[in-house]
Amino acid sequence: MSVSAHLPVAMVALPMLTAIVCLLLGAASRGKDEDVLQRQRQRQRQRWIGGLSLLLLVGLSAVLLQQTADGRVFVYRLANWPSPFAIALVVDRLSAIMVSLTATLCLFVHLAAARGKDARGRFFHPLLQLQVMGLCGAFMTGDLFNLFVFFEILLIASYALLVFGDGTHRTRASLHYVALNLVGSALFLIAIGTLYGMLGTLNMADLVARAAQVSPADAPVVRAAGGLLLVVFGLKAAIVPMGLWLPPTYHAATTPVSALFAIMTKVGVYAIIRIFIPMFGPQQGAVAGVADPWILGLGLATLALGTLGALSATEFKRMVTFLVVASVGTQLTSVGLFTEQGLAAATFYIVHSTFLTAALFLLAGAIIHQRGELGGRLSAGPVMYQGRLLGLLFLVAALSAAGLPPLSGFVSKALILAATPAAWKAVVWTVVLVTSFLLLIQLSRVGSVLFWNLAGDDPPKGPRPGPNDSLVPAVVLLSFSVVLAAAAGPLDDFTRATATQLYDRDAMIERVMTDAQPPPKTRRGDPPPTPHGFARRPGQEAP
Amino acid sequence: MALLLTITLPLLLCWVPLLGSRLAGRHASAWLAGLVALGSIVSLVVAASGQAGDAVQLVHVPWMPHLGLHLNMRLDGLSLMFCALVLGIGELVIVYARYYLADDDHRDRFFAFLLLFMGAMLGVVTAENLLSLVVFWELTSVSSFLLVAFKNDKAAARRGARRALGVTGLGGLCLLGGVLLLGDIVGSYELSDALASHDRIVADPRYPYALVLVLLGVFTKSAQVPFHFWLPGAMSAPTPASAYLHSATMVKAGVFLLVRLWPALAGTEQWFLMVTGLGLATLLFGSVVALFEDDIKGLLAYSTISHLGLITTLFGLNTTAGVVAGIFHIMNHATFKASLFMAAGIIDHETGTRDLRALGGLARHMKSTALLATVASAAMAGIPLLNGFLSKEMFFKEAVDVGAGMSQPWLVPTIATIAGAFSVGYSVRFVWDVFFRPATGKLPHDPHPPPSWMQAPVALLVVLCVVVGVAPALVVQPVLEHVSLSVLGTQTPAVDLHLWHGLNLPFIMSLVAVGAGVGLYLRRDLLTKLRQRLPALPSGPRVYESILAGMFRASRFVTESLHRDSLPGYVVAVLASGLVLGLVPFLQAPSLSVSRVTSVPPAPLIGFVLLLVLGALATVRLHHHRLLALLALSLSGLGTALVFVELSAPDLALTQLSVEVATTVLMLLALFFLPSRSPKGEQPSGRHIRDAGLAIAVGLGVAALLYAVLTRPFSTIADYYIATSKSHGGGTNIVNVILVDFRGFDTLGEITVLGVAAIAVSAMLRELSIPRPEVAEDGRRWSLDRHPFLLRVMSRPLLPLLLLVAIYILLRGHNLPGGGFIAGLVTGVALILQFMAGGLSFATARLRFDLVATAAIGLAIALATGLASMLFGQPFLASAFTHVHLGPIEFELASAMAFDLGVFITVVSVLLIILVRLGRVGVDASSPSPDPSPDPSPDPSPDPSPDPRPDPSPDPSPDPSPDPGGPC
Amino acid sequence: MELVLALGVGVVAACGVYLLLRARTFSVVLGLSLISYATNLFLFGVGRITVGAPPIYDASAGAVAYADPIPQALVLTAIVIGFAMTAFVVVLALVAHQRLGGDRVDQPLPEDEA
Repeated sequence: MSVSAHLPVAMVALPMLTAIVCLLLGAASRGKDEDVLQRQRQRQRQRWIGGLSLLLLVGLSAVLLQQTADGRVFVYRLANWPSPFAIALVVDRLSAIMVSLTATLCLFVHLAAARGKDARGRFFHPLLQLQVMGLCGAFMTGDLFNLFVFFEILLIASYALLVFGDGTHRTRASLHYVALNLVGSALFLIAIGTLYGMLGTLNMADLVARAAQVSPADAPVVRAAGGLLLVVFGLKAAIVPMGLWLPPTYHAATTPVSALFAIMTKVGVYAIIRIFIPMFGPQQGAVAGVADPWILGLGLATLALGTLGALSATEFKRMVTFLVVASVGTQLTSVGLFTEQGLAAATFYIVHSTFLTAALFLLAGAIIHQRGELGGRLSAGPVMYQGRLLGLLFLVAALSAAGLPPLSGFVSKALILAATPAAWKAVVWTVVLVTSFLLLIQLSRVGSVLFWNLAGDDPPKGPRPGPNDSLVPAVVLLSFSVVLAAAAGPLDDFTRATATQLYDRDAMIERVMTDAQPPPKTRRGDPPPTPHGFARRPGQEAP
Repeated sequence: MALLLTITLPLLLCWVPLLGSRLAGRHASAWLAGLVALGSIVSLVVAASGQAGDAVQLVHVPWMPHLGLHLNMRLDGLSLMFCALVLGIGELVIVYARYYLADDDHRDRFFAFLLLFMGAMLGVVTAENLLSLVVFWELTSVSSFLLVAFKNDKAAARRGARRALGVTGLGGLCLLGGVLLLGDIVGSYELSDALASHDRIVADPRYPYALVLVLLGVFTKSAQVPFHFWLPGAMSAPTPASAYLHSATMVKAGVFLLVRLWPALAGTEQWFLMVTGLGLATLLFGSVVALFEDDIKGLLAYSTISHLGLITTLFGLNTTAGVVAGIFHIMNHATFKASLFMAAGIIDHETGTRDLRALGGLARHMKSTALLATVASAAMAGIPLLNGFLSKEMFFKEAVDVGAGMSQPWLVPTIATIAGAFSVGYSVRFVWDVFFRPATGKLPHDPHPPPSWMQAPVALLVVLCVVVGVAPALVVQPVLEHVSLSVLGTQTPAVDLHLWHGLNLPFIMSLVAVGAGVGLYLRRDLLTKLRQRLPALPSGPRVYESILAGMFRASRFVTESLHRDSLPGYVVAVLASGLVLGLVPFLQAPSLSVSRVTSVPPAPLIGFVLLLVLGALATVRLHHHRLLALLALSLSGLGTALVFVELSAPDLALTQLSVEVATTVLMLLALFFLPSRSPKGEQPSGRHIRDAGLAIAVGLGVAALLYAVLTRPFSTIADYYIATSKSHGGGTNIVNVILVDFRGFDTLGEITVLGVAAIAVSAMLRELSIPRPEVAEDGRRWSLDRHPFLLRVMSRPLLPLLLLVAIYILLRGHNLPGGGFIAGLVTGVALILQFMAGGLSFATARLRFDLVATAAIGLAIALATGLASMLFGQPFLASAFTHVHLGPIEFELASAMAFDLGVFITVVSVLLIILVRLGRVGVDASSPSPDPSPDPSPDPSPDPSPDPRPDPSPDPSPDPSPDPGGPC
Repeated sequence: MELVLALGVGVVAACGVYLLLRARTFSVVLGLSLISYATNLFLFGVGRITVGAPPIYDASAGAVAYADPIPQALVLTAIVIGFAMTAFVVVLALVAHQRLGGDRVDQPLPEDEA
């Protein structure tokens, strides 16, 4: 098969390989723990390898994006078995978008961390790579159980990254986060089991096809599994009521890690889109519409409560964590409209909010650092060294977060409002507009406290920005808010095409299930004996 | 194209002034800003010169086709007039500010913000696409926020700015909603389409909502009652900003939108009631309050409010003549109010105060300023021969005409006259108290005439007031007609501007107003008394702030009551949601048939399940005594394994057993450092009930779900695996073939998880150091026997045997129960047993190689097997196999076995990393500090967990720290 | 037979949930292990129940009704992942116990930490 056909698996294999290399490097300098110089050199090597690999990954994901743009769908059947028996990586437009997001975001997280924040442990880089591997796999796999496996990879990597660095509140937050997610995994397994027990397959497309034929008598069981899946994904996406864990957890993480977590909630939202649009969509007969009312309702509730949380916050980073919750709510609301436009708007918003959230966390890190012992507390503080620059960046971020023109925040919100069907206009518009107003109020307040309400005048009293706190990653991530707004037209086209593709259930099933004749498997070495004529077909008899 | 330039110049070059003082001197920024504005003026002239009288010039700038959001621009009479206002007065303000801010360190920023605002304002008035109008609308709010908060070290400035942003921002959001609704009705966001479809819009059921939303935007921006309060608060802006934003431009954006959408939205009862009603209220309220303001700028602010009310009223009347009058008054108000603000700024600048009670007798010191201010206020008061008079006359006329059609014909004219009287009153007060009455007291610094260039802009505007007032027919009539034509099109009325219409009712009203106004000023002490009698109106700011405060309180309450940051809380939320979402489908279901006969369980199964269940129950019962609970737990695990055996899953049984052993060892080690008992009665008794209830509910739910699945027919893809595993997977153990071939990708992921766990664990433990308890909590000393003799003797010979078994299991795994996992786990357990027996030094002496590295190598092997298949043009992980003949033995060798080898290596090293590291924790603690008790320290019997400290006897091998796990 | 298994799984799950909601980390660990037993059995069970027909392909046997191998493979994966997670949680519990000076799941934070 052609080289480009291997792209999907490369997105998983490359980070894994990099992680292994980093680990072996770390091992190479074993025993010389005391040799600081040695450790630095070895960390430097890890930085380079990790960064280059991420750069390469961004390139690959760009190719994926370009290849899928015209509607092509990669179906990569692992181990060369036919569908639905092989685990298949299925890369359509949405998957391409998500993996590109992941690669880009993680590259900047890497840059932000590689300036010294990774020094607290030799395992940051392998862990980051494995996190990327888990994310990419989760965004591409077309197999339900395989999705579980990749969830576990990205989760355990995130556990490890969360514990990164010490601090008691961090420890407790990790404990909660881990235990809660283990419960989530158990629920996930039960849901998978139920689906397999009812439908007898694990390939998502096959599941979709079979779910449509379920008899009304059996439907409730499948629907129940759907309900459980919603809880599992809702837990990852941090929807209320399952999502209360998010603010303390993200608040506890170190700056680059919480920036990285900007993509973690998206995993949940992605899974909801991936499963609930086709499998429990309108054409699915007896199992149709399991979650329709729930998703919209919970989304609106999440948006409202996240906004209230942001309003109530007395510390900057904590407010940002609540902004994350609110953005999740917005995405869910938009998905919950269950219209193509709604889904397109949600996709647009996902791209926008991933970069914005990460930028906000990096910004928070810098601000908290430069305000010295006052940290992020929202009260009159010292003049910051980079006060003006930070102020400008905050202004941009705040505009985008509150959905004010002309940045991507406004565009995506306008898309969502415009996508709302008449039936929901009243409630959705009210919630979205009111929350934007409240965020506007709070952000203007926060901004004027942080940058204008200064106890004492120059010279700055806060600590100087060290080499560890370059603002470049934050600036670039923020600039995406501008770029996305400027390129809103093409991006809008792409997301709409994405939505159309996602709603075209039959085409997807057809693509995944029809067996693209894998070339016969030859034995390595001498020609195969008779029994190995390998055009595999389902239901083939044993010799 | 030139039009595009007009708007983009200030927006894109707004940063230029920032270079100002860095590049050249203190005032460079002002000149740079002036230059940019000039450029934009020139391009506007170019653009305007290109088009005929009533032509409309459209520039298309596509942005988001699907959404219908474009930056299309439109140049017609109305937008041209407003562009002229924005740019003309903007240029004057820049000149003025260059002197006003002469000694402000931050003027660069001021001019940058000013240009930003200018661009945004131009965008609003030239917008052809309604959505892009909203975009620029909000931009004006933001940039005005920055301008008002310019003196941001003053709390008042910050508060005023925030309030302004809040109110206008809210209006902007409403406007967005209204515009989106309009777009739904019209089917396009293009202004032209909206203007063309008045009838459709008005007839549509959504019209009232759209109207209300749009008007909310208008009223907040144009400071109509009850949203007026932000404007006086915004007076903390530098006076040039006030002269620009709060007289000529931003506050006019609202009324601009009124007249812009007039052809589309007006002409209905709702329009008349809402617009005229609020307009009149604002007109009256503003003029009354202005009379009692002691701050000059406050007075001007309220007078602005009242004049905006006047304009709003005119547009609300649904008469074309009203529209013309409104447009006319917009121009006039802009000219005289801007000049008055600038004059106020001069006064403030020269005397250091804006308090009317302190000021007085300035006419002697600054004659020219006095003259200019007097003329301008006369215009404001509507004195003949000045522009204010003309538009006010027109207003009175409209008031009379419209009043005639109403049930109380006197109402509107009366209100108009009263308001006129008050405006005369405050105008007189402004002039007289500041300039002509004898000075009351000492001023902050004694006044002297301002720099002449600072007065030039004022003079220019005042001259305009006079010229227009004297010769309207010549000067403005063509302009006014042109503008009105662009709004009203064919139905434009004949515009005739004359000073003298004869002694008609409007003129009498004017006379009354002037007379009464003077009277009001003279006897305003009476009014003050009266005002003190009346109950004070709730002040807008206070209401607004208290609403916000309420919201903040509410948010705090909700958040605190919701986010308790408690694990049980989270778990309950998740499980409860799971129950609900899992249960609902069954409640909706019509019937729940059991369509498959269930079979009778064989006796052993019952026994095993009982073991499982009893183990679990015992664990709960004993969970306060942790050791016993652990034993009970492992019973339950044993039960699980046996169930697997009984239900024909040998691989699972093996895996479960070995994992069970490993887990138990792990937990015993943990118990060594944790308290050995969980105290009882920590949680309120109610909690136990609740938890038990939830637990039972969940248990029932799981059981029901499983039963529901088990009793339903089943068709699965498994048959394919069974059929092909031997022929094409090269192994008879189907489970193993699935693991390493069919679903090898899962396995790869799974060992990755193991790897991460190992890394994380060693990292966490590296920084962990726990002083090893000398004495168990129940007071017993740990057993003194370091390495139980029996265990030592038994385990040594056992090792090779176990390893042999492991290899065997590994090799046969592909065909018989076994495989990488099980082999790895067995090996791991075997080694662990050794270390328990031999103690740590024994372990480390045999672990000279780096475990993390070996784990990585294991992963690498697995990954490599996967990648290798790509070299053969196969997909990742595609396996191949062949028959190998070694003399008599003939067996199949599958490439999947290499994969399994990788799995094996990973599992072994991970197991060792986790358990050995955990075993060393106590050592890491005690080795740095000299141990107080040198006596050979005890093994934590009764449980056989490894000795956590090294032999005190000098060990030949210095502990080579068997993994590089740096603390994260 | 189905009923027995279902009930067994249910009871174990219930016990697990109850322990999970206790105040101490160790109880939580116990609870999680019980839950993983229940989950694995559930996942195993959905392949339907077969006695005495392990999925070891036997060409001579001809058409045998083997036990469904897929859930077995899945459960095997799940068990191993579960082990990794348990190991992580146990060690994390130790770390928490040392850093927070107690093994409550909601251990109140020492004052020095914000």
